[in-house]
Amino acid sequence: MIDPAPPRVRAGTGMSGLKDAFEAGKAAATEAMDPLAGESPALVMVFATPRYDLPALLAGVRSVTGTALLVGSTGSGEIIKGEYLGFGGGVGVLAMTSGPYRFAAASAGEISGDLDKAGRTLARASRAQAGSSPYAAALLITDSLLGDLQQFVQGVYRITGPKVAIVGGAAGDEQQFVQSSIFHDDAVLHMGALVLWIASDRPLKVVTRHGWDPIGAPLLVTRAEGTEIAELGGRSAAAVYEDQLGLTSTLAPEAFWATSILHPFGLLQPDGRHVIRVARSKTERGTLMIHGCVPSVGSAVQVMGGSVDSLLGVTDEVVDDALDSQPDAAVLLTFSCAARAMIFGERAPEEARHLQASAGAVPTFGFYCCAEFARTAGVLGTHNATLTAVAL
Amino acid sequence: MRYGGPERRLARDAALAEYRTAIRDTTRLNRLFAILSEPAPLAILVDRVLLALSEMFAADIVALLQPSGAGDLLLLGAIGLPEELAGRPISGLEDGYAAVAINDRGPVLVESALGDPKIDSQFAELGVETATWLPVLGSQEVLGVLVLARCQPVPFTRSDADMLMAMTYRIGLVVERARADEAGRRLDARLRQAEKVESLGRMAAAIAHHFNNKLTAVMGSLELALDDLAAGRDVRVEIANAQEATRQASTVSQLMLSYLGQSFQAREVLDLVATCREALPDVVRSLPPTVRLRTEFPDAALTVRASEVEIRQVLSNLLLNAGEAIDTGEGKIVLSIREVPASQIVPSPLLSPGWTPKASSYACLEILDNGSGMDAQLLGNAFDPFFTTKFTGRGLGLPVVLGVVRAHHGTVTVDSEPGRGSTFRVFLPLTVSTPENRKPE
Repeated sequence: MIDPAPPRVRAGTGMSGLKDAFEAGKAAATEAMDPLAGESPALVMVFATPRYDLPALLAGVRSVTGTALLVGSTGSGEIIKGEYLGFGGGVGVLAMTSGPYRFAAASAGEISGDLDKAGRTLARASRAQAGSSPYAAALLITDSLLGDLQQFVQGVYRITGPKVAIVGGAAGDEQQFVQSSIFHDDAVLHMGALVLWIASDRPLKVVTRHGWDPIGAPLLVTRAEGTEIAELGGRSAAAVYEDQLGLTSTLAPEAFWATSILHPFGLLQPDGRHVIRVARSKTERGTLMIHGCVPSVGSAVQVMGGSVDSLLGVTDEVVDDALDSQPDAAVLLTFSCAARAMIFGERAPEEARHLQASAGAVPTFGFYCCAEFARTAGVLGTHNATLTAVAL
Repeated sequence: MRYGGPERRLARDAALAEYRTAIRDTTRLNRLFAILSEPAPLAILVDRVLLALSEMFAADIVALLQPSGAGDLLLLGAIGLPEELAGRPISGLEDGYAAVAINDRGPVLVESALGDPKIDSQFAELGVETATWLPVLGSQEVLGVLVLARCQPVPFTRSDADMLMAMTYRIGLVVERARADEAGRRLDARLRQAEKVESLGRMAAAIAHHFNNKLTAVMGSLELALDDLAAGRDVRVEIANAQEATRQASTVSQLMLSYLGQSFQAREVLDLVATCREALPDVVRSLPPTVRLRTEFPDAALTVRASEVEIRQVLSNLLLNAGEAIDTGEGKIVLSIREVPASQIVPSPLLSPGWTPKASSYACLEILDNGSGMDAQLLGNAFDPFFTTKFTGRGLGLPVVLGVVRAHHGTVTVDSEPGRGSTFRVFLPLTVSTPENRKPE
């Protein structure tokens, strides 16, 4: 007896730059629904500029998609089937049928305190709704302002274990760092997080690449507090960082970001790879503020360097690796870093184009985040200035 | 030796690789030692260590197991082991690699774990491809087994295992120390429980004895009254005796309720200084005539929310207790009241275990005597109900003080030494006097 082929996923993407939020949501959703050929969507994903009236935007989307599960967030640019929407660009919508998957989401707003516990709670709740399955993926969308996002990832990992892929990104507000928003059905959540559980009969593979190379010697983190690296090798972290770059004078705090975005830290991994951490600013005390996840005391970091070409160069590998693991994929979900888009500058649209060119007929969809989630080995699953993807 | 072009590059690359390895190993050890030196409960330390090991060795699963004594392994903590699998017993102690690591007191490296029957079912279900088992050695015995596993075909190296053995040795020391501390705490708790049971037993026996005496008096009086009634005699004396015995029993009941903080006396904002001044003449009359009392009261009011009746009772009990402690005739008592910041109060673990200040300032009622003083054993029992060293008395004076002060969210401290007298201090939270909070509760 031959096993019946698993039901195929139908997926469509749409985008709109209309100024009216409701109409923009409606237009993007209408375009996304078209390839579903009349089937109802099981999942709707929305990534948008924070400049919209967001409840109206979601109402516009849901006026087309109905009550199908909706997840998403504001970000710092969107990736929709080869198109790049920059700051204030509009909204991107993905609509997909369930095919062999089951989707369920759990979310919470106004999270404060124990992010590990929040991760556990939302992972447990979303898994319970989705039901058991041989494999799964947990797609995380968190507010980038929550604090140490690795705590949230590790909480989720305590529930999932290694058989469940962890992927996603942190919502942003076009680099204002004031207020990000997460979408769950028709709710707009602030200081929140969401776990989308994707129950699957086959393994789902998370892929991650960054394109950065070390340019400095490994440095020991000797003091880190909260969201700051205070000391490297027993000296002021900012002074050591500037030494590593060979600067003859210290960087003014207001000029720091322009340099640090081009030279993030690489957290040295056992296999020689690096997990990227971007220092967001320099304090008057000579400490470095890290956005999202600070390397622990005792970690080794290296100052990294790269170019627009080296960073764009990883897109083919990411797409190939993701699609190789899922030959009949209906969509490639991508989470790239807002810092990458800033580095690309005028060439920012190239990343979306490269991704789609590599993916061929499989539509690509995603957004530019303030931290990317991708657990591939061990518990560490939070990245900066990195491109991650999963094929469904 | 001088290197040419390619040789020089090779030598430089080798030196850089060695430097990276040295940095990596140093950072791993530094990080682990930093975690283990933090003052935290064992369960939290174990969790932090496992998280750090998972990150440092890119291990998808890290678990710390301990032999249960029943042939299987108990999970002390794990990262990457989902809840539904973590709840199942791990049987590797019979024929698994955990047994090998324990018996050999050394690491076990498994390069290819897929399909290996010695791999426990939990790990197999998660698709573990490579793993290492390490014994956690204590000073006398093997305390447990640390397991690190990866779900990718990237085997742990001998160098990883050496580093992990050094780490597990350190983990073993911390586990052993924590267990010894825990055993000590359990022993202390059992001792305290035994003492409490003894104290409660003594209290129950004393209450039963006291009430039995009073009931016997009541019953005896009533029997006599019945006899007198039958004989047509006047029974008023017997009835009055029964009434008196009942009143005495009721007084003891009231005092016991005060000790338990359940006297339900109405509280209001009052000036502690004025209340003590007013109460003092009545109390002084009960002190031995050879005792001199000196008072040191502040000019300003110190307001507390309290029951005036109970404050008078506290003052009276403490002064009478001081007077009775002066058994050599000539004696001196100093009664003082002052304001004390909460930060200066050192609570007695014996009298107020776990007490923490709820107000920023407290009124301190201090009674100092040059009486006989108390040794540690006597002080340990002095506040137990019905404990008394005196021939007379019910043994409820100090317990009532303690009960009342506790009910007022305050605390009591005592400094005492045999032959050198005692200083009792009662701390009551100060309140700001406003028309609203002057109303009785």
